[in-house]
Amino acid sequence: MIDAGSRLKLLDTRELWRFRDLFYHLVWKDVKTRYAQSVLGIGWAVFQPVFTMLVFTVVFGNLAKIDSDGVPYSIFSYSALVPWTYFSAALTGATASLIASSAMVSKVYFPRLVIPLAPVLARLIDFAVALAILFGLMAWYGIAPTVWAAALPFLVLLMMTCAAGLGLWLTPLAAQYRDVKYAMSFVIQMLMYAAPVVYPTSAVPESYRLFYAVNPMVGVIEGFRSALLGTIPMPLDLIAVGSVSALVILLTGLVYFRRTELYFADVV
Amino acid sequence: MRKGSIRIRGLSKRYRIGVFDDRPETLLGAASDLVMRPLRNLKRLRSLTRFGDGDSGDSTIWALKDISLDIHPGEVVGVIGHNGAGKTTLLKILSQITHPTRGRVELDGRVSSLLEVGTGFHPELTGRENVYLNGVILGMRKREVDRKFDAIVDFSGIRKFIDTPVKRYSSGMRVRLAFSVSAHLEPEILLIDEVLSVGDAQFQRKCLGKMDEARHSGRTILFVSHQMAMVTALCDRVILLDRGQVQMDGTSEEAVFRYLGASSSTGTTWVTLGAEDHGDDGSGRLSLRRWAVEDAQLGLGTEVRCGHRCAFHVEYEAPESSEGLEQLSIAMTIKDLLGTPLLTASTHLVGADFQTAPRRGIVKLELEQLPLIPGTYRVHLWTSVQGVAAAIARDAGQLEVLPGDPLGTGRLPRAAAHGVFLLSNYSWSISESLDTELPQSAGSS
Repeated sequence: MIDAGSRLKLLDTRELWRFRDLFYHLVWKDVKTRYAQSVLGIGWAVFQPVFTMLVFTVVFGNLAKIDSDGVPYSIFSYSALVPWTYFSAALTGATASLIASSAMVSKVYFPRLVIPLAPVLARLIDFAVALAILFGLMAWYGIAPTVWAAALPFLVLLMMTCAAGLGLWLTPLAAQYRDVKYAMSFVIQMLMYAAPVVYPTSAVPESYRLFYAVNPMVGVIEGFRSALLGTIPMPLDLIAVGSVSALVILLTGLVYFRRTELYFADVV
Repeated sequence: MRKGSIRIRGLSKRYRIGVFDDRPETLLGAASDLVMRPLRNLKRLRSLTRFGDGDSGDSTIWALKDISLDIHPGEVVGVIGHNGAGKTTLLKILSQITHPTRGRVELDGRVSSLLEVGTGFHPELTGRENVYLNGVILGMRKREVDRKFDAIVDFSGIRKFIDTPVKRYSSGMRVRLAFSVSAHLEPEILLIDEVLSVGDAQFQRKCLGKMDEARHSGRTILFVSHQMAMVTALCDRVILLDRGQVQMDGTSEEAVFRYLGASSSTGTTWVTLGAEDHGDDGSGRLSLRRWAVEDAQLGLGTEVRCGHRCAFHVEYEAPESSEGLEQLSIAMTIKDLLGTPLLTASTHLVGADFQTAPRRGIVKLELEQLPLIPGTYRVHLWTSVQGVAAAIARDAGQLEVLPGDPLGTGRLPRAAAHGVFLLSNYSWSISESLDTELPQSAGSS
């Protein structure tokens, strides 16, 4: 049933379920081909955050002497880089996904949602590898995780919601306006400074903090540090604000995506 | 509604077509253009998906305009028309790739489309992995691919390379593997767009066989093609589209004749032989200009109906210095697409050379009936003057043989099974014992 005037359901779960094999295969293809014909292979998932950490430690930790909430600066920044690297890779992947699969989109029908969501899921592999390194670093520095570590799955979910929501907004925009593609690396870099990656949230004035937490990655990053390094008490207020804003981004993104997906084949 | 039926009501689709930008001519103009351009670009890009009521006619185009059709379960329907008639747009809307501007479609049953094979093939993955990926993209379940995997690989004929990354495949191998995946879909409604023209001759035959199989299994098939011989051979019903509208909806013969009639009134009906193929052998004694075939119903062109009366016309010319030609000999050989000669008509072989011929003229060869089964053939022309070979056109162009039923039996020869089809000059008889008495033919007595 195709009707020019019909309003689409926000989420056609039955159809998505019917195409679950496709979703699984797209995720798998993404994982498998990401490091194809490279020497380091999955090693890149370690290389990138670790080197960034080294640079940050020298520049921000040793030269600028930024406060690191009582833990070594290297592990302070690395614990933020693990979720942040995931977020930036998932968002970049999602945004580029539709253009990359334009041949598929203009030739075959399937629920378009699977395209931006596949990289969001696939990047979890890199995330897991980077997280394992974080545990290694903690052991090295002799830092034990707090009981809040049990909340990590929730933080991971929040981080994924945030990446998926923004991805749903940016994917259709990128297909129609190629500017998004060029702006992406720049915007992600800017966004990093709007999240407590190189500095602690305690550096932000108290009165601005809840506003600051509208960026869901603020809650995610501080949550990671609190749970694993015990730098500050679990920032539940930041996480609550972030969760609400992540959900709003996801829902509005879904509406926008569903409204524009009808014309993907015409614009991509 | 029954499984496999399609109901289309008032379907329209509007596209935006590019409008030229005016370029600034002055430095000031260029400077202000630099500032204004992003705004203009934004408007232009937005307009790709937004249509206002005030949109003028020249920036948009109706690819489909108020189409209404009913297609019944099990029907094999051909969709024909010139480029830009809306055939592919129709298939794209039916397969939900793009959304209509107006109107509605009701489809009952699983729909698969073969708009282009090999969609979603990833060069870094192996053939095996791509079969799975492509299968699920086309809507199969993984279990289904598991079950059909061996059949798919056997059909493609590249089992040896199945675990090699696809980027090491030749383009032919890639296409074969991709088509094999598509050919093993089992939808109730199958949409096909010009995909059967891939691969070598042997593989094409396999594809046609698969198509025939799908037809007999009671599937509803919509088939877009420019190959009229194939359309008439496969489809019971044909829809002729013209500028987004249904111009005709009828039996395949009627629609194809209408379409060919329409195309021959606009296009050239003769096949003109260019300098490289009119076969001037250098002696300059003769050159072949053009040829055409005449069919009572189709007129002059490159199409004839199987088994019907037809005439070939070949125009030649000798240089102005010569006044006329002596002992002109001409032969026409029809070859299949592989270049195997199938039949020859020759003035030389039957001792009927033209003793004298004008400096320029048109040779006509009349055939009581053309014994070729429907398909595409190539024409080869050969001439000699006074026993010395003159112009030779080894590949003078294609000849399309369409299905025909000259005897009115309603039984048509099939391309895959029947080779050359004898219509006359033979008789059948039956007796209890061997009958070896053959009447002496005139030549051997």
